[in-house]
Formats: sequence, C-alpha cells, structure tokens
Amino acid sequence: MTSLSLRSLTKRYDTATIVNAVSLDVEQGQLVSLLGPSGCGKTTILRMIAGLLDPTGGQILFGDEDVTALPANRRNVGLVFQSYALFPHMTVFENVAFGLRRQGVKGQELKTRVGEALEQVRLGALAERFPRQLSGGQQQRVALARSVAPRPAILLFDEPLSNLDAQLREEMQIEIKRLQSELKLTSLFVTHDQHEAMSLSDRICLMSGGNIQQFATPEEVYFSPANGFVSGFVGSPNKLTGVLRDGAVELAPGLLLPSSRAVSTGGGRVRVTLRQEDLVLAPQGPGLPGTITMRIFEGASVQYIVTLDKGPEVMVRVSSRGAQADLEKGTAVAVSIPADRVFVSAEESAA
Amino acid sequence: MTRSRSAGVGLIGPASVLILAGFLAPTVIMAMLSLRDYSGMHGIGTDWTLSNYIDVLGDWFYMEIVLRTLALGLVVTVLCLVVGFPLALFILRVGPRMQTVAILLVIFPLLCNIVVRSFGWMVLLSPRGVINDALLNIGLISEPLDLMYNLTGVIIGLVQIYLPFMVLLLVPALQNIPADVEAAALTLRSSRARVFFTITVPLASPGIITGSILVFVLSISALVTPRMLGGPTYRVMATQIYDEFMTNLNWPSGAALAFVLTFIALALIWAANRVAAHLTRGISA
Repeated sequence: MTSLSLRSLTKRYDTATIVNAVSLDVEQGQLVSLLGPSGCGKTTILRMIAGLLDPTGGQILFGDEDVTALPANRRNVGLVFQSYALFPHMTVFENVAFGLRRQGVKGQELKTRVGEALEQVRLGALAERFPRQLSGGQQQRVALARSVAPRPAILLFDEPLSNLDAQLREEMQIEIKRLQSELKLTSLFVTHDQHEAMSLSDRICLMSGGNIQQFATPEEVYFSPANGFVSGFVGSPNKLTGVLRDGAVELAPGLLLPSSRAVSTGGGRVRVTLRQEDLVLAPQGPGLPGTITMRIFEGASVQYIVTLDKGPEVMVRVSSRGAQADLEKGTAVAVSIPADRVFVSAEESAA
Repeated sequence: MTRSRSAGVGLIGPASVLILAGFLAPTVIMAMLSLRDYSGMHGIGTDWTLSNYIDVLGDWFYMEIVLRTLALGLVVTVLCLVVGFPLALFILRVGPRMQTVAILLVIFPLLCNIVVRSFGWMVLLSPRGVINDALLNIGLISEPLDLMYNLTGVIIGLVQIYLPFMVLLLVPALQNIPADVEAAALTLRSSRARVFFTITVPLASPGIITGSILVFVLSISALVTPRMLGGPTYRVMATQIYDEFMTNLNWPSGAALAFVLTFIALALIWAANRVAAHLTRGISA
C-alpha cells in the first residue's frame, strides 16, 4: 500500500496530445475517479500507470519510488478491465492463482490465498468453473479477486462496470467500495459515468481534452463546479446561451435570469448551465413564465419540458411525491432558480 | 412444407451428385481394388484378399516409406509453425497498410503453379544452383552442399509451399484472443516470454491445431514437390503410390497404400481433435 503521484504526465501521438502534463496525487488508501467523456485521456493515464503504455514525458511515482521506467510486470499494480480480460482457458481458481504463482506463493498457502480472495467477492463455490460458465457480474468479480489477490500497491479500474446492466452495476459498485475500503487499497477508477464516480470516490478528477478540469470531492464538484465544462458535465443540465447583463443572463429579449456566478460583466454571449433538479416550478409567482409541453414519469422523479414564454425550452426534474408532480401538459407555470445555481461560462469553453 | 423440401433437395442436389459420382464412387471402387489379388503374370485377379495390406504393413520397404513420410510431415509442420507464428503476429500488429501488403505477399506464392515453384527451388538448390554458387564464390564452402535430391530439399520446398496455409489459419486464431487478456497477464507480474507461452499460445491453440493438421495432411500426400526436389529415388508414400499405379501397374498395391495413407491421416486428425478439445475446453463451447 502506497500513495500514487503523477508529475506532468504527458502522452503525445505525432501532433495529437492525448494527456497534457497531468499532475495528480492519490493519497494512500483513497479511491480517486478519473471522470470524463470518451477521448479525454483518462484510459491513457491508467494504462501509463499500469506500464502498458510509455509516457511521452513526466513521472509516475508509487510512494517515493519512480516507476516510470519499470515494465508492467514489475510495477505491482492490479488492473480490472472493462472486458474482464479473464484467461478463458483457465479455471476461476487458476485465474486468481496466476499472479500469486508469479510471486512464488505455492502449496497450501496458494490455496488459502486464492480461497480468501474468492471469499472476498463471494465466489468461493465457483473455483473450478471456467470463465465462460459465469455471468458477466461473476466474471467481473473474478477479475476483481484476481487483481487484489497478489496485494498490489495500486489498484486500477478501467471502466469495470460499463458492460454490466444497471442493477448489477449498483451491486458491483458497493462490492468494489467495500473491498477497497476493507483492504485500504490506493485506487484509481476510470469512468465516464458521473453517478459511478460520485458514489465511489473520495475525490473526483474531472478531465477533458487531456487536461484536469477539477480535482475535488464529489460534493465540491457537484455544488461548486470549477468551470463551464464541469457544470455542463455533472448533473443533467440544461445548456442554454444568453448575453451577460449586470449580474444576470438575458436568455431572450426581456427574459432575465439573475446569477451570482456571472464572472464578468460585458455584453458577450455566454453559455448557461442549469441543473434540471435545481429548477423550481410554481403555479404562479416570481420566476420566468412558461408552459408545460411534456410530462415524463420516471418513477422516483417526474421530468417536465417547459417552454419559456418568448424563450427556449428547459427541462425540469421534480420529486414524484412532491407537490408539483401532477402538473398537466399545457399548465402555465413559473420557473425559478436560486441565483447561485446559475452557472455561467464563456461560450466556447463549454462542452 | 413440400415446397421448402423440394427447394432443399434442389439446393443440395448438385453437390450431392458431385460427391457421390466424383468422390464416393471412386473411393468404393478403389477400396474394392485394394482387396483384389495381383500377380505379375496375370495382372489384377478376381479373388478377394488382404494380402495387399499385409504386404504394405509387413514389408520393411513399405514401412520405411510410411515412417519417412510421417517424419517428413512432422518436420514440415513444425517448421511451418515456427516460421509462421512470428509472421502471423507481425501481420496482426503492423499498421493496416503494411498488413494488406504482408497478407498479399503471403498469398502471392499460392497464385503460382506448384510445378513452377518446385522448379524455382531446383534452380536455387541444385549442386551448381544459385545458393551453392553464391556460397562457393564468397568462399564459405569449398564443395557444393547437398541441398537437393534428399530430405533437406523436400523439406525446404514443402515448408515454402505450405507456409501460407499455416499463416492464414494462425492470423484469425490470434485475432480471436480477447482484448486485454495479454495486458492482464503482464500486470500480473508475467514477463513477455511467459505471457507468450502461458496465454498467447494456448489461446491460439485452435488455429495452431487446425493449421498443423492441414499442413501435415498436405505434406504427407504431396506428390510433385517430393518427386522434383527429392529426385526419382527418394520415396514417400505419394510417390510410391504413383509408381505402383503408373510404373509397376500394380493397382491393388497402390490402392492399399493409398488407403493406409488415408487411415493414418484420419487417425491423426481424430487424435489432434481430441487433444484440441482438451486444450480448449475453456475457450470453445
């Protein structure tokens, strides 16, 4: 167990910069997510840490040890792949034993260690099966056991839940979180799914275009996005454009939205991001007037599409047990939003 | 129902006729022929006998030919595998443009007639051929090497001729290895050599086995190349069968020899499939 540090880690192919001088510290025992859209460089970073890709520049440190030049097989990392990457010609037992045998573990100790690892993922009974005889979720649990069994210094996850269905994904999230905190493994978790990142991470590193956009706790990323990219990526935001006027955004002529986050006061066009769950609906009163044009029941929540008078459409999400859950299509409403929840950014920097 | 059935018969009809008339009937005729008695005086007789088979299996002259043929097949198969595996890996891992070029280069020799290719090798390998001349001229050797009219020549020729089949079967087998599996083994503390032998080779085993069976069967039944590069006195089963039929006019003996060759091939295919089933029991359903 050790901490993980990246120092100006860079990866370039010809002229394309995939990872741009990324520096990052993961404290011992913490789980950090690399979150971002596809092509943001997160998987490239992970593969460089594992030693499967050579960085163009920069350093990778495990604790105080510089491992940048070490080959993958001498780095002492565990890596859980999206595709599971189990060895199809070996039984579950042999899969988990694979890394342990390389460490010279054998005989009774090997059996015990493999048994322990399989118990940790609750698969003790399936040791003699072949991977193809298991479900996707079971296969990923074997992959998890295989990567933690040799007690790696750093545990890496490359979108491990993307191939699982929604319910299984939630179960596996809990499984990973439990195992990671029990074993106090320093972990880096790559994902494009913000819910996964939010629920698993001690800290989130939000990336775009090979650069870190924000590195903070899930709460900070959600409540205080560092820039327009972050506010546009986290939550399920409405993305609108407007013109900045004295602490408010004019979405359409005469349609003013006060914002305490308006950074500059000029006449420039800006991108506005409004989280669906931050918008408040009322039958009348202060706020922007509009009409409900669609109601979508989602179970725990209800989503409305509201056309603002003289303005754009916005999506609003409310609790399905709340007072505003049963508004009919065509109902006139007033849409309001706290001024500190109106995120404003320069138009081009938004995603 | 009746319409789809008649359509089905129509679809498999031509192929069935072709197989019955072109393969099954001649095979039955040859099988019967191999059980006829033969004497130098009277030619093919009308009595049934097993003596043709007993002669082949009991005569050291024939057994030597059988063993030589099997050894030849084994050596050619192993060499094709050793040469073909790195080539297949190369084809798989180079860029798309190089890949097309490489595959074309592998297929290209197949477009050339086997007699022409064997003649090409004769030009290269003969005692005063290109290779010996070159080696003599630079002083590496003082006398021409015996590269032709022996096992060496036949092996060189057959490896070159059947290498494309091996490579073309290995490429898809290697392609089928699931993504990231080798990377996973690397992160589990295995050196590249260990990953190759414990992961890559076992997972490519379906292709290795199919390719090996194909090259082996083609090698033990090859006629033109052993005759041309081995010379008139170098005997393998295919050349011996040819001689029994065409020179000795002993058709029953040639037919018996041909069936022995067939049974050896079938037995080996069966055994290889059993081995393959065991090795790949985790991979294929």
